[in-house]
Amino acid sequence: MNLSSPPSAEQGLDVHRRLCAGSRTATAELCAAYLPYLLAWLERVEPRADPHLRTQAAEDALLKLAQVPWSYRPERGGLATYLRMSARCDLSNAERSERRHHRLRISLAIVEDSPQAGKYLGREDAAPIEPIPALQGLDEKERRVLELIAEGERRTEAFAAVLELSNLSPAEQFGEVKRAKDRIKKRARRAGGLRERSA
Amino acid sequence: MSDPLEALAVRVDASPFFLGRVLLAYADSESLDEAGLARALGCAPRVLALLRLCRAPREAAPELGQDLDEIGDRFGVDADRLLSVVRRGQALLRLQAVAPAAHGFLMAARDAEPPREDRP
Repeated sequence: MNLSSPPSAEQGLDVHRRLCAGSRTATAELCAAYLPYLLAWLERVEPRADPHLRTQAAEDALLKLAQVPWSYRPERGGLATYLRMSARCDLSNAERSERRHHRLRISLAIVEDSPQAGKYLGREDAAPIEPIPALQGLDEKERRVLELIAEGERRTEAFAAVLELSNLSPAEQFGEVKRAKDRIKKRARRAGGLRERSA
Repeated sequence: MSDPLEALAVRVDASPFFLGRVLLAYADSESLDEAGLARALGCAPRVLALLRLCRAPREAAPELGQDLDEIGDRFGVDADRLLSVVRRGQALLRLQAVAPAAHGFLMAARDAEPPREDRP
């Protein structure tokens, strides 16, 4: 297999047509035909990226297309181009998320290493901690959803995982996640505790 | 795991969208590892990865047969053998879905542990 060039445009159109028609084998053929190419391409254009994140991005691009094939419109360009854009976008999101978690880890480490007494809870002379109004009355899953919203997470599958909806179809997940987010945002806004990032 | 396709196949095993979940249910019930599952299906490990990445077949009778014929023809796997594995896997997944307490029920049917002799 030549990793530097993608499968032909005709092959791409054929596999996409069969994905849309509900073929049972087209998902496997899509992955077999494009995964090695996407991995090689990402390694070439993003050589400094974490190899694990590159692999995950290539896999995500393929799995999304396998499950929602109509997200690709053949009239707008070739399948390989679409998958490259999708994988690069996923990689960039994953790197951003990784950086955010890294910053959080660093800031927590600073608190842990600090000799100052303020990091300890439950001191008699410490002021009582007021609960954050937006989090009052939310259950554990709803709190996590609210945290994801505040972190700028936009992927439906991330919310579906928290809400334990991963067993639903992508369309059902989308609907359920949207309803849950709307409900939680409404409650948080009422409590005056949600400031979303502008996109 | 060096083959990226096999790594991807492992990743989709938890998704109901893919055949891998059905095959995994069967393999678990028979305590088979990947090589054992490939032997049960009569295929090479590389083909097993492709099977796991296929879309899960529909459950109703005529469509199930059509879907497994398509998969068997494409990847050179005996459709009858595939059918018996898939039927068992689907049945196990249905059982898990409707009876989440079945695990405890089955545990209750196990033999009791023999009494420990060092107990006072």
